Amino acid sequence: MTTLKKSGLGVLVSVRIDPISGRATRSGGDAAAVALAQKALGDTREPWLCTVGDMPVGVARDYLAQGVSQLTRLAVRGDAAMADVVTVLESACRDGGVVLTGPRAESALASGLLPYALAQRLQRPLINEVIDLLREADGGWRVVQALPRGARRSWRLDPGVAAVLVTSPRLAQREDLQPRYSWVAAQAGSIVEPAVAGSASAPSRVAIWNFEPSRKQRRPLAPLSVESGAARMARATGSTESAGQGGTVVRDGSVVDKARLLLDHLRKLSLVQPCA
Amino acid sequence: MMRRVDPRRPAFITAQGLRRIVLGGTEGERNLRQSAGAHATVRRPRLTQPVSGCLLVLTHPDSGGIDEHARETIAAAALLARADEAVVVMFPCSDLSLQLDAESLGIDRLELLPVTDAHTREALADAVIQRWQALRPRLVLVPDRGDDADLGRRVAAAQGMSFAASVVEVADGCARVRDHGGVGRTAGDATAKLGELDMLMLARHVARSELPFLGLGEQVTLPAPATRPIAGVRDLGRVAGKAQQVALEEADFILAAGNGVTDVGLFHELAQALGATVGASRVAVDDGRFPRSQQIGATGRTVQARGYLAMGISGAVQHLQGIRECRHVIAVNTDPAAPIAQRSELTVAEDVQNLMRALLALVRTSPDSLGTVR
Repeated sequence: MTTLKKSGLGVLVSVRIDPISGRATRSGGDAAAVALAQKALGDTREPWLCTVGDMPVGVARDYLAQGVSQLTRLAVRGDAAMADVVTVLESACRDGGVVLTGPRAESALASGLLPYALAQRLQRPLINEVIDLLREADGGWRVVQALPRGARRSWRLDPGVAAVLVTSPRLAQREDLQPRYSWVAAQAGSIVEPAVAGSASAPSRVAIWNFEPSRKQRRPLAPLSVESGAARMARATGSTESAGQGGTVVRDGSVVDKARLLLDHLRKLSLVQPCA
Repeated sequence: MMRRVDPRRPAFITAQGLRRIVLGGTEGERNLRQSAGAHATVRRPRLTQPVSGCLLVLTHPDSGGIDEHARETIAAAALLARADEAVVVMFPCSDLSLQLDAESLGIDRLELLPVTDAHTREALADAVIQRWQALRPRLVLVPDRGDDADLGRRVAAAQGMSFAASVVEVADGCARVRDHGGVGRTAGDATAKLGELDMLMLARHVARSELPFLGLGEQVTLPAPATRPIAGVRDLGRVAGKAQQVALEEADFILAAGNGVTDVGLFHELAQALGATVGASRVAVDDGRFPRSQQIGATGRTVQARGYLAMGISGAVQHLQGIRECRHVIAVNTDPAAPIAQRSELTVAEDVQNLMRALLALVRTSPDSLGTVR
């Protein structure tokens, strides 16, 4: 039986509810995370796949179809709160190893809090927005984080350091990570359901959610309008001063002067590197 | 016979800025033209009573300022705060000299948290938790994106807060989120009472950012937190992205071409030299000079860049819709009366090709002209 300790890299996979048909399917982000884990581990080892709750067998087979021989399905009560899920996961992940999870679930409320709660319970570092994961020669990991505007930040995890890695939503768009699908692997793979005894968690404050049909119109929070009707009409027609007078207009001077002025303005806004 | 009302009867402006007519009176001015926005311009502080509680907003600066999403979150806090609750904003930033108009944003106290690149996210979360325990805010509001969402989730997980992510609406004392459904349960919405929640992560457009009142605008600098490095985890540094490969929606600086740009090669050279992402107006795209994916406007993309340099774009309404959320718009156009001049803070009346050539020469001659500051 595969465990997280044996394989060194685990992936937490989840069920996606299709927004159109309402059917349970494989999550694209989680499938990409499995593909990333397989790429990082190479052909010799395979990642430990884990899910909590009532994942339908068809969805579990869809994950196995990526070429993994085993998926661990941990059972919780039907109405389990997140604290119970974290408790079950904690006991399964406690014995070390790096765990990859998706950023947000694609079913239910999708708070995205589970990886953070798990890292908190395990007292392990958490790196979010993970776009690439590479195994180093000494058994450590190199984690690449995707930052806004195409920037990348790299981290190194020393050998034996356990961590929780949250994948980037952009991972599913990586073109070199096409999740494979093999029918034979889907049939040959096994779904194991070990009994896990979780320790009781400290009670935390939980809100009571009321489920209701979705409403298209959202009302934004807005202050009570105190302006007069005349002001409102003037604003709508754009005839007030606040409608915009425009900024400064530069007409005079040579082309070079104007270009210099423009460049100085860009430098003042620190859009272009200031002159050394 | 009906007596007609004199449309120019005497009136005067009161201290509150309201136009007042005394019936039958002869005092006051006859041709009093009141500016339409006069009421709106008189903004008073929201807090008039002694403060007994607060709402906390966590947000990171976005290239030296705060963006529309953070503004909306602060406005939401100001609108949700009771009459005796202050709006406290915690702002982790590396540059303490930033210019923020805290008052008009509705901030009562701005707490700057000096951080550097050496600070881990864990250290930052610890500093926020300390402040949270000291302030005990009724609610914590966080914009649900990027670093803010990460920080908020760390704090919520560490403190066991009850938490709502991607809140799409706050109304009638309830927060509304989207429910994606489950096995055997259809998708819909879910609501929870605000009294049961400790932290709200707001999606876009939850609140309007124009406020009719002011905040107190106090500013304090907190002591720098300990860096707290984690054993076994090393930061190998960051690599800035190439401006040309950045998606238009998340670009920081966009150089956009319109019908005035005929020399496309020169334009791309300039974009490279300035380190800007390339955008185009509909006319330039329809002409085949730029791909459709670079079109900005109603039928193209909507951008939120901090700087937008429009080259030879007249500024049709559809294009201005696409750049509505850009902070600094600068235009170069032969016609200084074009509509884009109304929107831009600096308009240069000049032929685009000549100006691009001069600008490129200037950028190339100045030292270290390699891309933008990140």
